[in-house]
Amino acid sequence: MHDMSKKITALSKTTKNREASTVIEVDDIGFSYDLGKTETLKGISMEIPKNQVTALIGPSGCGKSTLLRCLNRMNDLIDTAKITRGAIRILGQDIHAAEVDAIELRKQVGMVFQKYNPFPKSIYDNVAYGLRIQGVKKKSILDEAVERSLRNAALWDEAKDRLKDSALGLSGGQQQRLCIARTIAVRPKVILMDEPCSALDPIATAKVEELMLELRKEFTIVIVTHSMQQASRISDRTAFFYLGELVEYASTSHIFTSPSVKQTEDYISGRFG
Amino acid sequence: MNASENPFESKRNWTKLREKLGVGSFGIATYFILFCAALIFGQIAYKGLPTFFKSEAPYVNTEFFTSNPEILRVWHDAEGNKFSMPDKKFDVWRRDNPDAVILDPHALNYSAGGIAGPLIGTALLVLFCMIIALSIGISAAIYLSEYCGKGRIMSMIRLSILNLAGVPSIVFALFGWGIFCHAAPAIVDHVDERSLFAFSIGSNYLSFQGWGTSLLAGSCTLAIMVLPVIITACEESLRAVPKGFREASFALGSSQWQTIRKAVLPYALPGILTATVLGITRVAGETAPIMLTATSTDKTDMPMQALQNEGVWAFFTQSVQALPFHIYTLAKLPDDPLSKPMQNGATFAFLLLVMGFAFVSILLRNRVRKKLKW
Amino acid sequence: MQVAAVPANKPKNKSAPTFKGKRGLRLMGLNFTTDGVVKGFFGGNAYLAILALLFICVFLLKSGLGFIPGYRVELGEARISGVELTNKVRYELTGYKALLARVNQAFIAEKRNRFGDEESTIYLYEEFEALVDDEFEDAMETYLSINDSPEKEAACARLCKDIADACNNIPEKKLLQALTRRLPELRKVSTNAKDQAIALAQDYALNDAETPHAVAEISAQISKEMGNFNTAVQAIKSAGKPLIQLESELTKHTAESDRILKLNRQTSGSITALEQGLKKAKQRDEPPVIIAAIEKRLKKSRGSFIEIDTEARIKAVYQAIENHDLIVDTLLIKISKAFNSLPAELENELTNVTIEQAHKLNSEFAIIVAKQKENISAWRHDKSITTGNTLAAFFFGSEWQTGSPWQDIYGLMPLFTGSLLVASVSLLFAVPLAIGAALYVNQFAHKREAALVKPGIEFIQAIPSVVLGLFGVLVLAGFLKDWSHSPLLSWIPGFPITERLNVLLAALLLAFMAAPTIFTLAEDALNNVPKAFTEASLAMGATKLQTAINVILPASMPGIIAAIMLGFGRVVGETMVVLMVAGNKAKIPEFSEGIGIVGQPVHTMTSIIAQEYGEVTEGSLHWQALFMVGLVLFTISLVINSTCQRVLNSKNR
Repeated sequence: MHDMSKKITALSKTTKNREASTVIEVDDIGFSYDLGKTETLKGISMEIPKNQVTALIGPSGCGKSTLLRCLNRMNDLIDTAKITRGAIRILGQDIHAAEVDAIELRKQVGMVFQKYNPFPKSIYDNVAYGLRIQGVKKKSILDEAVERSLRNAALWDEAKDRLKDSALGLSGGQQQRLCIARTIAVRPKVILMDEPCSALDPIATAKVEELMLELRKEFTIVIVTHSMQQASRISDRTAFFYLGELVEYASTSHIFTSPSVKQTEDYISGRFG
Repeated sequence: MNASENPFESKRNWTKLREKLGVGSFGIATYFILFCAALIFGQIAYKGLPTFFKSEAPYVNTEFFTSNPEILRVWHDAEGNKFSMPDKKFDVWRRDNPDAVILDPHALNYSAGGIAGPLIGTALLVLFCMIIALSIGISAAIYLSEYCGKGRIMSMIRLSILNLAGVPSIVFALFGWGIFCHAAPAIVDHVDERSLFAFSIGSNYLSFQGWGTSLLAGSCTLAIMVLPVIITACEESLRAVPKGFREASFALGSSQWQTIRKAVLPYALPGILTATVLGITRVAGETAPIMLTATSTDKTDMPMQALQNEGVWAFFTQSVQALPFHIYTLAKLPDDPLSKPMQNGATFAFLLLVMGFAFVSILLRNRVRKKLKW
Repeated sequence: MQVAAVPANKPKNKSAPTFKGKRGLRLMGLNFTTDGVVKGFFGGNAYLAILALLFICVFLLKSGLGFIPGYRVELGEARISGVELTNKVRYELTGYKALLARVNQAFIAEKRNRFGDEESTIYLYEEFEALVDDEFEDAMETYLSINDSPEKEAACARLCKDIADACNNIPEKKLLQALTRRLPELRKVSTNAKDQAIALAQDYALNDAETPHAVAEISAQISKEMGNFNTAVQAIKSAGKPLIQLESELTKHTAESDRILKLNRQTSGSITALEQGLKKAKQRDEPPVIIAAIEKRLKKSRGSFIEIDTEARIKAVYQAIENHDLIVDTLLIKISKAFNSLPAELENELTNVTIEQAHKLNSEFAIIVAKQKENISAWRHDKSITTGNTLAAFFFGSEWQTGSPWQDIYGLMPLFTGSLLVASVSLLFAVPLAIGAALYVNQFAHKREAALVKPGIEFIQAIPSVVLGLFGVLVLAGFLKDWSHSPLLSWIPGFPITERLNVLLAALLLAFMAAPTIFTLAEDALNNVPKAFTEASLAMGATKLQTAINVILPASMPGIIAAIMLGFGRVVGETMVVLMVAGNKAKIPEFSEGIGIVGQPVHTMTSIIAQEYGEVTEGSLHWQALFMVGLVLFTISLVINSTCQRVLNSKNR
């Protein structure tokens, strides 16, 4: 039985790989917050396919957020952070290589945070921010990009009459969708989401989830979530992390119906974590 | 996908340059401020240090720290040699050499002797000021933070105290001058003409004639000036003690005072100490208030003499010398190279004194901040 | 026992007897527990502090506001007696005198330029004459007593040689001193002048004459050569005589009535006091001796009351002023005529500059005259002065003049503009530096670097202002003046600076004091910006600089503005630095000079208190005026502080 399920996992993995090209390739990555004394990530290897939602799950402190922040090098901002081994390749390029500019990387690998964090500016200025810092000044381009992003983020109808109002006047769910709109305005290749719904109520959560399924058509999405239900609802593939190691990585249906590892099963069924 | 093609290649040479320019100019602003400070400090130290030392045996110019400011006598002899001598020495020398030829004699005020009088005066002013300000200020802070609620009136009072902390010192000086020098009550044998009104008590009078330009008036003025600072800072450090400490103490059946004494004050003490040193720094460096209320240029004897000769009340109501005011007086001296050593020495000594207190307060505060993470 | 602060955990005293509170010391029906006593002690101190601080406000208000009615009375007296009118004429006269002085300066500068050598000859001669008198008295007498001609010739040669030797042996330095004592411009002693002076001294010794003829000749020559210039100066001088006369006439008429009015005010004050005392004494049935004594003093006071007919006196004033317009018009015409005859372009730069300044003063004088003519014709002695007038005279008065023999004028404007000017210029330097430094330390500096730089800048805050002031007076003032004269910097508007102590100097030092204050508060404000904003911006691919400028700075704007305002408050309230280096000239700075305004000396509200507190008598109008200035300062700082506190508090919430 056990062998059987393993076989299926492997099979689904390969089929998926064949279906979609790989965007992110994590190759035996090791990461430490204290200059290598202790490893927070202990040799993770995984491939993240294009135009799919990949969910990273696991108990607190398992390293899933750390991995996510490695993907756009946000961890560079911590002085004592260090990649101890391995490499991450996005679109075939090793992102820690010397010729890679972290800022250029972040323009193409966007991120949405756990707590919605729009700038204390108007809705319009928030969405246009990314383009403006890239030097876009023409109003027509900005207008078009703002409208498209807000439409993509399903916020246009609610916000079109108050584009000049402060973004902080929106509701929590709207603010989070605004943050998503802000991220997609610069047309990144990948969107990283760090528990995007944990600060939202169920209705707002449903809207954001719906949005993610919509966005999957255009973007590759990696999402960290605490909620099993969310992962099962929206993700195509799921990776389960435990104590800095990747325990299991397979298609979502497989993980949630017949996990091949005992720990995964325990976690999903709520026996720990 | 072609791996050799780098999608994240840096494309922003112009942005990079702008980044460097921007950060560079901010850095320059920062170090320019520090550079100016170093320049001023260095200049004063460079000119002041020679006054602290001398070329002979003990090498430290003890006279500078142990004697009062004096007049410097300057003259030529018949051969055109220049002589200069402090006033007291000059008298002795004159007695020993009655036949010496003295040509073109002139006197330079405050250009000889030392800074002992001003130093002691400043110490006394700071001491009495802090005694008054701390005893009132800490109690007031405890009352405001521990006994009062957060009612509207209380928060208004708090806000007013905070606002008063920013009022210019010259306004406090003016107030102290009007009240303490001219209208405060004193027990006297003989009612002065300027007294506002007077009662007779026994053989003496209680007269509202003020204490004149005096140590007491200066200390009180400085205390009033620094009171808002001390109350605000102490209250802040009391409030920084977590509420849980108090609740735990109350839950064990302690009374309010026991709670304050055992569960609040010990943890607020470093903060209160910092506030104290901060207050001393501010008080020691102030010139305007003491100029109006405590010092006079014609004071030449040490303050202790009044205590020995005339008693406690005379001690407190005498005017004193003080280092900041002494420096102000020195700054107004005519430009003569012989006055410079005193000018520079006194300035450097004063700067060192105040900076010492400031250093301690910054050190203390940083330690408190590091520790205060409950 | 009442505990207001923490009701939830208050031990309950009443309900159950087992929880009864400890009984303290019972005194006068009150239960003194330790807690009660402690609370009372703390509360007492707190209220003492609060009362003391409240008392400051009340005292300042009381002392300051007493000024307004007092000043109103004085202004009224000045109007009824005509002193006010005289002041207007005096104002014109000041303008004229400044003009005359400048023209004179130009004249002297020209004279010294053209005839420096001759003038130094005369001064040197006087030095040598003294020397000859001292040293060669005997030799001269011997020489004069010789009658034999060949012998006399030899003696003459000997004496001449001795005198020349003696004169030549005087060190150059001493001669220079002698010259510069009298003529600072003559810094060099030319050999020509020296030789001539020696010759003159010899002439003096040989003839035992009084001043040699040659000296007088030189003086006459100089006057003649100056020709046109000389007559122009003399013309301006004589043209002013009618105005001077008018002023002294007016002064004669008005000063006396003003004095009497002031005396009468004092007398009536003491009469009221005595009357009240008498009433009380009668009510209390004091012994008749005392009542009689009071009555006697009352009578004496009433006797010293001087009857004065202001109406009659003012008539003479009106009569005198009738000629005013004619006098000033003639004066203006005469001056402009004299100016026309002034030589246009001279060789000496100093003369040209001074003449140009005189031209400017002339046009200013014309404006003053035109304005005062209007004022004088509109002036009426019987127009009453309202409180509004008094307030306007104080707050918008353009003159602060105390200790004058005439009327003291208390106008806040010169001080207020001075304070404002110094503070704004200093912020111009301090704000960019401080905000730049705050951004750098908060956003870009390495952690360890920030841990060193931050206390370093905070340390500056503790430098006592008197030390900075001394540094300004002794070091920076000289530097600044020298720099401003360097040709490399002459493109900066306002350079070169002529005054040693000026706005720029004060502003630079104050900027140095304000920068740490602004830095610390601005850094706090930057620190309060949520980290999420930074993260979001960086995750969008913004650089650190873009993040700092586009996100963090706007988000912390209220805090930064509060920081700047508090810095402004600190600068406005600073006393010692401005007292020592701002120049202390109570005059509204001339805004017409553009940026050159920073080279002018000013007085400020803080320094006027520190400067004049020593001259006032308790309770006098001047004393009250100083308190009024203090009150204005107090109000400004309270407004600034409370606004900033509100901004900062709302931010923290």
